[in-house]
Amino acid sequence: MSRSFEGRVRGLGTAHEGLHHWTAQRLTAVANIPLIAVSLLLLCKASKGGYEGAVAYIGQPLVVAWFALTLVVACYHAALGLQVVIEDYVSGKGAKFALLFLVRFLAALGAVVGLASLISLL
Amino acid sequence: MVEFTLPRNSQVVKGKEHLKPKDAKRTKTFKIYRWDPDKSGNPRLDTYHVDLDKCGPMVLDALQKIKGEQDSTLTYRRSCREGVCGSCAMNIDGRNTLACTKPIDEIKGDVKIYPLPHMPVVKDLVPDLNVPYAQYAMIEPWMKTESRMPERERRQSPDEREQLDGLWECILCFCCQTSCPSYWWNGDRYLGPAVLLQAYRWIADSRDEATGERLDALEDPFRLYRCHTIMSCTKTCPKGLNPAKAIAEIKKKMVERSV
Repeated sequence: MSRSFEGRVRGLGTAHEGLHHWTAQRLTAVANIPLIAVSLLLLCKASKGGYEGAVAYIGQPLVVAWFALTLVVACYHAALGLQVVIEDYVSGKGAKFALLFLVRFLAALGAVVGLASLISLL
Repeated sequence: MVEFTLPRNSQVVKGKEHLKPKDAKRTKTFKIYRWDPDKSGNPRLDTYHVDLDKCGPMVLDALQKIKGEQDSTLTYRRSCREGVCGSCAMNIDGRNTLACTKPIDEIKGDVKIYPLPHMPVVKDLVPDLNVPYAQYAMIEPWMKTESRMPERERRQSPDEREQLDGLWECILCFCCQTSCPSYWWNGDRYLGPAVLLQAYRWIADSRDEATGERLDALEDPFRLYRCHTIMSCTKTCPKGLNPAKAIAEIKKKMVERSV
């Protein structure tokens, strides 16, 4: 290894980002607590009226809106969290880039499919 | 990928056992990591027995006694022998600490001593600290000012001076740095707890006029945000400091300047 230690630690310099990811991860984590707790309560309520009753209950506009919000925030939070795991443990540039892309794609796909399903209940 | 297993030829094998001192009533067994770059072969764990009645109270006293009386080839760094210089940082009884301030009688059973974890080993208990030293140099650990040089010293109120407590005491032993799993996995890009605590020491200094520039240099997913508040740094610091809090303060400053 010929590069000096000083050169190695300076690397490509600073990316001037990270704050947005850090705050978004924390805000979505806090938001997930009430969002998921109320969603579970709503699901319990919905499950009492059999299949037809559940579809009718979840199909109410406010319930759909709540689930939609929970879904989007949870998918966003999952993508942010998995990004950290990949950055921590995967050092190969190609693998890292591919996995980061895959995680974001899957999170977006999950959110879109979930939203479409919810809208179909309206 | 992260290396969860030791590289080839790094498995620590059983080493030599040195004879117990004669007529000793109270002995303690020390198992010490040995590796010599001039000889091929795996690192080994040598066993020494120390007569506690003829030895000082600290682990460094025992190392000195072993080196002086049993095995002069044992290699380690030491200087001040009073927890000020940070030279004798090593992993003792599973925890990074200073050999000179770690009492032998705090350790139950055999005393196992290894070099600071996850650093290249120069020899025996001497780790290669070139990377953390270069990282320390990168944060420019000196006062930077734009204002005119005052005729006398740059003054600070007692409150402003208090902001540096818990920061200036750091002796750069790198016990925290090498206890941090995030630093183990990404030590080439993450600055680590010791260097970030030092960075905050200058950010928190009311006399320094380069706070924004210092924050700019840290705003990076790897340099700063690899800290996941694991808190190993704070747990292990032999000076009782809190690097995790210093890092959290830097993150708070980042938020503060963006809202």
